[in-house]
Amino acid sequence: MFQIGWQFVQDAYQIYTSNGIIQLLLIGSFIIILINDKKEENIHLVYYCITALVIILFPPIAFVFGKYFIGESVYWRVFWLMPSGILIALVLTKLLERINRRYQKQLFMTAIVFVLVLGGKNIFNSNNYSKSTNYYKLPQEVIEICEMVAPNGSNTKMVVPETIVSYIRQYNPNINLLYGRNLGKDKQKGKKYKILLQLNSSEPDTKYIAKYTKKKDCKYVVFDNSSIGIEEIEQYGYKLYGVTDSYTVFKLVE
Amino acid sequence: MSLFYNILLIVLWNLIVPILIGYLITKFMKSDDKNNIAINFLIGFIVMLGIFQPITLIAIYLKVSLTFLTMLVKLVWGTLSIVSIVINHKRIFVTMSHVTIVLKKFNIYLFGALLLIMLQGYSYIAYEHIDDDDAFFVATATTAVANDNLYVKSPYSGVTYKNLPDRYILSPFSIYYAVMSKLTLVHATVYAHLFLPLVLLLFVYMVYYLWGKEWFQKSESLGVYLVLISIINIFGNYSEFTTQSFLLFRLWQGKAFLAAGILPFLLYLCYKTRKEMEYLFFIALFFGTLAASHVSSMGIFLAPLLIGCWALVDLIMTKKLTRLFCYMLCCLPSILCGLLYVIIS
Repeated sequence: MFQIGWQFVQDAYQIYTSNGIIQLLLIGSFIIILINDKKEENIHLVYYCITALVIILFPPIAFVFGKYFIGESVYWRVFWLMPSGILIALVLTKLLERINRRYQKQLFMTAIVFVLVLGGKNIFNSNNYSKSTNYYKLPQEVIEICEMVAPNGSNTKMVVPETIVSYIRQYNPNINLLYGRNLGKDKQKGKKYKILLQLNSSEPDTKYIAKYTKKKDCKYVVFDNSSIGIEEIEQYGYKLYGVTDSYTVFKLVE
Repeated sequence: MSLFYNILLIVLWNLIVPILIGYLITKFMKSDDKNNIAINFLIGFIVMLGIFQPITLIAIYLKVSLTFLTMLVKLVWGTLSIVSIVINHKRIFVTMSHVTIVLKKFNIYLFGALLLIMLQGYSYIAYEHIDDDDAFFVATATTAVANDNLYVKSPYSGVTYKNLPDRYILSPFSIYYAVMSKLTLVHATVYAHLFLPLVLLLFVYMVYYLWGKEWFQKSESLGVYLVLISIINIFGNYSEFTTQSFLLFRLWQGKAFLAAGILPFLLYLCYKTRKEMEYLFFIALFFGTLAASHVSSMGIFLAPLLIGCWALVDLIMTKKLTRLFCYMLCCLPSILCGLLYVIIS
């Protein structure tokens, strides 16, 4: 119990804090408040943080919380209980308030900003964001495909590659899907799972796909353009219906 | 309908109604802050979500339509707002006239903070961060709107549920998107991805503002503090799991709002109960735990853990058992949700 709990704590700390300096600044803030602050409620706030930290970092408690209440893989969420940003900004501003000379104040402010910028990592970078092309904030190709197969929110049933399966029903919930997100994660057996594997493979078995999708009344089958031999599905009752930059749509005609 | 009309409806249901409901609660407060528009908005928003939680859970259990649920909450929120206008109109007028006084205190640091906050808002308007979890959270809302029911069809594929998603059913924040989509006449996905993050970002920064107001008398210091916290947030991506990353990536998701908005506000309410011994903050705290359990299943556990840690220190420092009892009462919604989870899972 102790060892597993300790492992939860280590993993959570590693995942959550990574190599940021926030935790160091937070501990510094505790010390500054405890030494300098006379207000009971501020000291209470620090004691709250320390109490919460002791509880969530104590391995047997971490074991019970992680296993039965929060989840082993997401135990890092307990760190949300720490008002890190609020407390650090409050203490740094309090320190700034104490400096009387204007140029010293500006120098200290610059130093603080420098530490926060260099010690952190900018959120606004191209790995995290892309320019949005629509108000739905969904991949534009998903909207193109949805409008192609079910214009103006009409009904249909289709099967699409995993790369876009999460977004179709956010745009048009009247489109039913043969399989949805997490099928391969939750259940790695059955015919739907085989279809998922085939549709997302580089050389899909179009005969197998067509046979099953017809049986399940899928009006449309969407392939990734990079898959080889997808046009062969035309031999089994589907016809090319449309193409986008990354996907090809076939429609059931039989 | 024009976009302008949609925006008016969004302002009405996401800003004006919460503020009015907030005024209704703070009417009975002794605290000097009762006329602060930020605290009225925050308490009102939390109370709206807190009221929505039991109504929605009962609606899901009774399998009523989304249209009925929307009418019901419209009636409840609307009635509370009208009652608030009737009994608070003078106070609201006085508060509005204070806006000019606040503007006079505006300084370069507050201006800088405003710019940084607007930059964060702009990222939600002009950019996108695609998250696959929305295949459940957002598609549940679009599915509810399209079929006019609650948790009947799977958002993943559209087939009828064989088993309800017990992990999520007790935190039906997606239904809130659906109701708001119907009230504002905006597609649920557009509401969740574009408008809701802006409202919640405002919520989060109002919480920060209130924390700053507690610590600093000078508006210059308040400005510096808001600049610093903005910088901490913008440069807080040292891990994708930090509160800061959740704040600026996917605030529309309940767990992100819990981490960045609700938990800091619950802590603020705890802080206020300690500072001013104002028992009405306990009522806000009660609705806060309801709201926490509404937005995320994680809130069912983290909100009482937060209050429990605070209460433990409170008991040791003040030795007042009545306060401990009040804190325990505030955790009741979470305990009930936890028990319901055990029963249905």
